[in-house]
Amino acid sequence: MTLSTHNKWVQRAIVWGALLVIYQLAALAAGDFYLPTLQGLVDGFVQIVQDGRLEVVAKSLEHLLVGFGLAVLIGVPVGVAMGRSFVVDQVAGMYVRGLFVTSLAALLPLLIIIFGVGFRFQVAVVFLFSVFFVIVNSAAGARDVPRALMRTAEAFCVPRRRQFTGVVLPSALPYIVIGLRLAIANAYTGMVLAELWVGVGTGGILKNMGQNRDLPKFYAMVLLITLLAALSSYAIRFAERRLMPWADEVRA
Amino acid sequence: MTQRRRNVILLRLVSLAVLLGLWQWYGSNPVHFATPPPTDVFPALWDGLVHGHLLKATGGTLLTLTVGMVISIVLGLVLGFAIALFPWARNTIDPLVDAAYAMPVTMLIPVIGVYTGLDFRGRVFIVVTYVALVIVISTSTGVRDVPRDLLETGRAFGLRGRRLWRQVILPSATAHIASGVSQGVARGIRGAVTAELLLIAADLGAYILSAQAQLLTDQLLAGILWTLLLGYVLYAGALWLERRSLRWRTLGDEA
Repeated sequence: MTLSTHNKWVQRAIVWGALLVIYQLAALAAGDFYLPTLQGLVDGFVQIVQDGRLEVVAKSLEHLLVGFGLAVLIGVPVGVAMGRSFVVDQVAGMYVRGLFVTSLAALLPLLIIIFGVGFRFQVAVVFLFSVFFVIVNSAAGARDVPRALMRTAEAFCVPRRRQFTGVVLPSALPYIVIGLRLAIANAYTGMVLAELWVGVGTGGILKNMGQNRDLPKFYAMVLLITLLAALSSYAIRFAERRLMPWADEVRA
Repeated sequence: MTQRRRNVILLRLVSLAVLLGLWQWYGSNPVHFATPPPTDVFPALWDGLVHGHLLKATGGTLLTLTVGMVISIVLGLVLGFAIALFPWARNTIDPLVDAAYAMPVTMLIPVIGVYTGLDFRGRVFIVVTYVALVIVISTSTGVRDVPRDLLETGRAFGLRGRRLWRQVILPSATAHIASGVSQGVARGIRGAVTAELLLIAADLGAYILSAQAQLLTDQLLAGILWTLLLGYVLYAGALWLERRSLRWRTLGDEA
């Protein structure tokens, strides 16, 4: 034995392989009507591509990006203002923190009456599901600027605006990025939720496949969206490493 | 400090008053029929609580949440401890947990009925999918990241094996686990409400949806407001309990 079982990849190969085998056996025993086999998942994915479902997904991602973009555009300034100003924090903070922890899904029936079932509704839901993560983390970052840095800037008579761009923002950015990663993950939830509700886009496809119990395609789609969500979060992390090499130092 | 405290209360009251005022002004305009003013919504809320079945619906939602939480906590503790204690489990389960965490579990709603039925069991299942992973992660980090100086102090006092566990590691991990449970409550109520709205109308979700279907916008807003408040109060309560039960941790700082 040259490969030791202490190597984590050996362990992973064994356990994950075993899990896949167990899953495959369970799927064979339960039948396609309950669990798709691995082969079925692959076939399902091929069918999704052939049916042109990817274009629908791309369309959904467009809504996601618009909603998420709006959340960033509005969330970062509001959050930074909350972190730097006592008054803003007191005035806006309680609503932000309240909505941050509570179940926003309850707002959907109201949003539908206000926005209808189209583009604006989808974007509004994505926005609502992501904006509070951006605000809360931006506020935390702007609040936790190291005292010593601020004192140094003041001692060198750095003008207030330069203090903001030179000290506050660089030290808040890594926190903002954490907020963005949490927000994009939640934006996907919002996107799916809004689409499931109205029965359009990716969520609509999922709903149809579920109703027809077309499980191989359904799970292939679920895996695809999960992969996209994970990749989006990873892309933000990657961009951060490239653009903000000081980030890990600030958070540590 | 008391001056500051007074300012805080004053600012919050003013902001609340301004918000209610704006809402009243906005909602009174008949063009915005979807958002009736607070003078309509609060009586509807009162009415729903006293004469309607809002309280009963809330009870149903809380039952779903409670059962889901208990299952999640048991599951989370078992998996979390396994990940923390056995390198094998850490190496193999940890990445799976991360991957599962990336999945928007809401997507599963269209097929959950296949496995659990659309009723109570289905709703509990959704709550578990929302909550369990948080507990797993907080348990495993809590057990793994016991502060080194605590461990060293325990060892210096001759604690070993099971006693070290009971007197140092577990109490220290409890803090992490408790904060995981608080977060779990917040996520759990989201899961419960989402399930009640999307799986099959039930409890609070049914209250909101039936108000929407009949275009009783004052009742709709009352139901939404109540649901939002419920989530907030539950989370705040969980945080309060967490701080209270872990007060011993900060005792040293105050002395």
